[in-house]
Amino acid sequence: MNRHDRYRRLVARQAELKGQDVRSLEAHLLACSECRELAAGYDAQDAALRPLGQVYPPTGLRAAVLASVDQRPRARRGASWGKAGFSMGRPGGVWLTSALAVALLLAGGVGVTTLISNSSSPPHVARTQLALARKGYTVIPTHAHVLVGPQAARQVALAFFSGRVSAVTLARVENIRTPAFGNQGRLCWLVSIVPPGSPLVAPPGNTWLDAAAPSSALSPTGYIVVFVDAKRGNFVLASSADSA
Amino acid sequence: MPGHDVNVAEIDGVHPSDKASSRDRLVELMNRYEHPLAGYLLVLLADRDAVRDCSQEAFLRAYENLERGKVVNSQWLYKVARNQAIDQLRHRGRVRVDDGVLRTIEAPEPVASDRITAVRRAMAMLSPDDREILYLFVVDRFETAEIATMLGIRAGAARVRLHRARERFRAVYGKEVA
Repeated sequence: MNRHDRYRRLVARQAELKGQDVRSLEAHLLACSECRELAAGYDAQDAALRPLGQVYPPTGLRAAVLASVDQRPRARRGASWGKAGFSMGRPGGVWLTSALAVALLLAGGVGVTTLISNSSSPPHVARTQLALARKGYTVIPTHAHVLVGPQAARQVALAFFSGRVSAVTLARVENIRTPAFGNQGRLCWLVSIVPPGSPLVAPPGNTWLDAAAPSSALSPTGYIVVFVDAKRGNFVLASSADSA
Repeated sequence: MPGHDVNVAEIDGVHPSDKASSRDRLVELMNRYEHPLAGYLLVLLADRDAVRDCSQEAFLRAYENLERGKVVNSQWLYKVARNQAIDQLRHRGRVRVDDGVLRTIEAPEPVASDRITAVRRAMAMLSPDDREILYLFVVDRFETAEIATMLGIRAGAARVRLHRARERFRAVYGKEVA
């Protein structure tokens, strides 16, 4: 490898060079038009490649990961465990969070009719369930569903997260199966709450929903609505009362 | 930021054996790496479902490590995700992705300009090794020594591989935009 080849290799990784390598390459570039041209070409290459990184994470990934974490008994800490997934149709797959409790209380009168939650919920969730039961909600130890209409879902989300979120995004989810819909596959919507300061990224086909959005942004038919507190990673699951 | 070690276990100073704090660290880890990891895995796998599976497994393993009080950094996470991706490809019988699969690299983003389409086509014409090291260095901005650790090769080999990948990309991308 001759001296010129050495500089070509340095140009290829110019972004990570430090100290003497930087000074040496800069001096060479002043004297070598061929390497200057190469460096300019790599700069253009980098500019072309970087948009490849603008990829949205899979819809529901965070909810799935955190659901798996939350389902894991403490006694099994350190044991091998598999992907539990975000099992919308699996009993016990989701438990109610305190976030939902507050949301429900805020949402009184906006269509919340029945609350069904998981009996294996963590203690603070169990306390929330108890509190909700005292408020007159029906708490059934199976799986978490809150029957709300689309308007209520929107109001609950916006009311509870007011000031804590900058937007709500709805993701179309095909063929969700859940006991709430008699295990029939349904088109549903995954709702993600975006906290202030987070990048607003919407997967393709998503519908943005904000306070000014028309209610028609919500589908008139079946829903599963997932409220995600992205900052804490909490989420809750709701299905629409007016699902067809 | 990818390419920079993040000692997630030290983010808030909470004892690592506490489950809630490990969960918080996991959320922080996902805040940092959910997007870049998806991009990297998509380059390797060209399959959104496989990206989901590998991402999920990688983050769950990260949580296990956090629960044990171990440090999780970007290199560790990418390495675990990469191993998952290789397992996926082996499962499909495509340890080295063939041309047919390469051409299925999807453009899942809402707007795919002519330029980005040309970049994707050029990337698809590279070998998986070239594609991977270009992505890790240019897009995720890892240093070659970090990439070498992830790929299980020597730093010098990573530098040579990067140089050659750049040259090959330059050639194929030049034809795409010509």
